[in-house]
Amino acid sequence: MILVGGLAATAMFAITACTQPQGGSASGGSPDTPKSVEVMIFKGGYGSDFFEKAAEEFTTNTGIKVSVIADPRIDQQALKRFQVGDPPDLAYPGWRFDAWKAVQDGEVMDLTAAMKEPVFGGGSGTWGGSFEPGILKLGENGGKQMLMPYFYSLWGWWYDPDLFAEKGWKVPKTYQELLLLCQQIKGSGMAPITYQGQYPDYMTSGMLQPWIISAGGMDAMKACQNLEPGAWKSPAVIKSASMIRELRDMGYFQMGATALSHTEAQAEFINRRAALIPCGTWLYSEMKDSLPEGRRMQFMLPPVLSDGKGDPTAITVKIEPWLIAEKSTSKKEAVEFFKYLTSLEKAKQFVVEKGTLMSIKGSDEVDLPEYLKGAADSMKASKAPWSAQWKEWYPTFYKAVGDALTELVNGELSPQEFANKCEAEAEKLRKNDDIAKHKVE
Amino acid sequence: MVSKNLKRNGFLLACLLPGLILYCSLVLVPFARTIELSGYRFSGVSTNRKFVGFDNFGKLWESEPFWWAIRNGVIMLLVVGPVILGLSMLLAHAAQGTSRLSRLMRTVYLFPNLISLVAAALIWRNIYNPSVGLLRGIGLPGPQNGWLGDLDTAFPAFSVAFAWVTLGFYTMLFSAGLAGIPAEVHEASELEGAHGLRKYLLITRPLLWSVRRVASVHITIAALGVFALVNVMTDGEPSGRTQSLLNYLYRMMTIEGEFGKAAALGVVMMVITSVTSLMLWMLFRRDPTARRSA
Repeated sequence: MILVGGLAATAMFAITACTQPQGGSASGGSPDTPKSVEVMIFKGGYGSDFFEKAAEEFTTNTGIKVSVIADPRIDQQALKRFQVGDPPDLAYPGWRFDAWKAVQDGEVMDLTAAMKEPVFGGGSGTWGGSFEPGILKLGENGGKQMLMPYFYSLWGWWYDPDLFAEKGWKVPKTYQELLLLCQQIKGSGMAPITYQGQYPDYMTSGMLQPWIISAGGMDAMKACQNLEPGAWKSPAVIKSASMIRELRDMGYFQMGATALSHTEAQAEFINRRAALIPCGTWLYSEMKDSLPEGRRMQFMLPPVLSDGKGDPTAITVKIEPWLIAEKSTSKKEAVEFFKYLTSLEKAKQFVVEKGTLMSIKGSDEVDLPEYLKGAADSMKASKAPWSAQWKEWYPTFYKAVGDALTELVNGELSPQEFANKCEAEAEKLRKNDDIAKHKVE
Repeated sequence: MVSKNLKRNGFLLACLLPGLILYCSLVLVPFARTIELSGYRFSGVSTNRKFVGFDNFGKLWESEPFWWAIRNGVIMLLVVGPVILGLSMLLAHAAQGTSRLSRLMRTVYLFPNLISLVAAALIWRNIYNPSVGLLRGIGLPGPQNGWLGDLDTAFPAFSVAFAWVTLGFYTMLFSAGLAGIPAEVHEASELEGAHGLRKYLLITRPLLWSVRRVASVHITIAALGVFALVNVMTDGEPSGRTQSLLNYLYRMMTIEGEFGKAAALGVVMMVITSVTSLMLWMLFRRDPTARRSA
């Protein structure tokens, strides 16, 4: 019977086993011995080959040895290393790693001074100046540069241009046009919109937030991000929720989409069983292995209210942060290697090889793949690029809002009740002093 | 005499020691450290910890996903588990005997138990898929949000998959138990006029006491410790309705940076499992056949 009790304890074993302090750092050494840099890389959709190759080139150029550890669950390895005070020098730990908590706990190196250093190889301009300023800012905390962007993604909606041409459908710019189009699509027997319901994040990013901005302006979203009292039950939030609820009540969401995982919903889209889907610019890379021959996809901004307060060009930017550990003994070398990775030449190469946008100025001056052009143009034309930083700052709260959204599309909550529930969760978070609060300027 | 005893005890100790060391390091020490950790705010991304007393338990108490996980655990224990055991008992009776058909049936039931839980989870995701799933194909598309997306159907749908995975094991267990009952006992009881349910309640059930005890303990472990199936099949969605205690614990550790809260949940799980153990122990305290022969 003790087995039963042992179950919970065994589950916790991973935690306890790795919280015992161990010996010193693996990298580094005395000041005169040549230092090496240890890098942990999240092996996600873009793999790790690019970074491994870059590490070899860097070693050849500078003599500084770089070892790359890459894994799809690198976050767990990184956690263990941070817990024993022996973190890797440079890390791109992926979305599961709570990088902002690491910043809060003083585990991350302040790169503010490094921003003023020259770019890699001593070219003209500062390192900080080589980044797109709006994107670089996403790694700031209280005016200090703590986390670093690398590639970035844009959130939007996707459609199949060939299907739209074939059916004579027009890409909707406004919510009102969207309603008309959905009616048309539904009439043709196809589901108008599908979504990755198992992960409410997609609906939060693709509908809820853009429509809060559209209804109440960027200030409404900023107030939500800053957890201002009442912000989560403001008229803008209620309006956005009622737009989602309206699409549901009209039957414009694909039947059963709430049950679909991200890849399942995306398969519905690429196989033309649904006409529109919210997703980030990684959609093509994620689905390319199952893409039917010749199938194309195009980016569009979420359709906004024609009489909304928000800037209709507002676009959601998402970064996956890199960091240098405060406890690293090779900080200078780690900075140098990251400078190399973010040099214009390497950035351009990453754009071409991986088909994503990069945070380095001028890196898009290459032949962008077709599916990225629309997104890149929207970004260039946008007067209001912004990022949902509350997602990274407050993962528990973010999940609670997603849960409420699932209840909204289930018809369990009305838009007003949805807003009340979000506000109640925000209140809980405001009262929780253990979680550092951040501000969007 | 004394030296003989000493020798014997020394030998026993030497035999027990490796197990004892393993047990201490893998069970008791983590037990203690989990309890200790539950008193700290610990993000898991640094060496920093702050003592917060029972605060983590208070936060759990206020968190909605926690209550969904508790609700689901209770349903698993009180409804899903007993239903699975009842069904496997029926199936075991149906598949009794040494004929080819009964052997084939037992193999078929056991099959889901042999494949990986991840594969089982994916099979069931495909069965429930609202667009291309098997159920939709046979005219059962489910509610508007899909079997696994609807707040009310998601947990029952998950439970069916859980039953599918586990049923075969208990069927096999009970089959073995049934086969172990001597034929003359059955014959004698039939001669005395016991048939059907009466025979089951008076003869078979008491004789299966030890097997039922093993099965109950085993399904309690399986029901409270359900993780991989939830993680791959639903990840606790929609809105926590299929959340399990372990999957929620894992989520807090990996995504939400709340190691202290996760440890507190681990402690809560320990309490739940201890209480359940106690209840099971009381339920199966006495061997009914032993009592009769006394």
